[in-house]
Amino acid sequence: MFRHFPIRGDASWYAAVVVECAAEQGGFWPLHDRFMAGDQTLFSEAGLRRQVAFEGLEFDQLWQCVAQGRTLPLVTAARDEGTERGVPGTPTVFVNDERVEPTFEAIEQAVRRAAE
Amino acid sequence: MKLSLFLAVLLIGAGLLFSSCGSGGAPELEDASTGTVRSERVEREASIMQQQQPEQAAAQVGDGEQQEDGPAQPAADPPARGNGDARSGDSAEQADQVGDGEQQAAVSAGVIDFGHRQGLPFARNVVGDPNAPVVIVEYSDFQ
Repeated sequence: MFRHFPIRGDASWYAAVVVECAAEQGGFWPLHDRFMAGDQTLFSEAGLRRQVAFEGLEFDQLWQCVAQGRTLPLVTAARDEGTERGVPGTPTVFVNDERVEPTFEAIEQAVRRAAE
Repeated sequence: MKLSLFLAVLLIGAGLLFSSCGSGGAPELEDASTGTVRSERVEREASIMQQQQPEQAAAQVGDGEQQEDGPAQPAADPPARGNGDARSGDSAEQADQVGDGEQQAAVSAGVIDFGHRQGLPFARNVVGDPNAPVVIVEYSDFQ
């Protein structure tokens, strides 16, 4: 489960809102992955339009959602939730309620412990 | 006239070449096992480019080059931005909106068809069963 925890300024918030707007059309993960890959073109309207079309999503619908800040409350709620859970920075990973190092080995061990 | 038409066709061809090389797509999202999906994506992008005007295609070829080598572009006018002060006041409204989000999750539920999560069920920001006995939650941001 991915939870937004934007802490690096406007660009982080913008990306989170865009991804959540894409989610309205089932496009959460493609856009998530593009932002995670550091695709800076998504921070311009033209670049975002191109990628959204590539993913088969409706740009106008997504852009209206972004412009209205429709998904901002979702992002805010996730950020607040993270703050309440003591998230110190990003990335922070929890396996159930246990905070673990964001490495494959640590997560794997925590999953095994939780599954026992 | 014929020369400009020829140039337009040439530019579209160049655009398709760039896209098939992965300059504008998302090749790093996919692995070798998703060749079919990747092919479909390339075809989809080619179809989109063919529908555009030659001038736009030429501009997009330029964009493609910029995507690979250009500096990071700030949002020209990011339409939605977080504001800590503004965020703290409307918790009831936020709760309603989160509820809406959960409803939307049902709408967007499906199976991921690309990349390392291919074949896994998802609903919005959740991959797999959110009610599983072991849940991994990642708090992260972009940038």
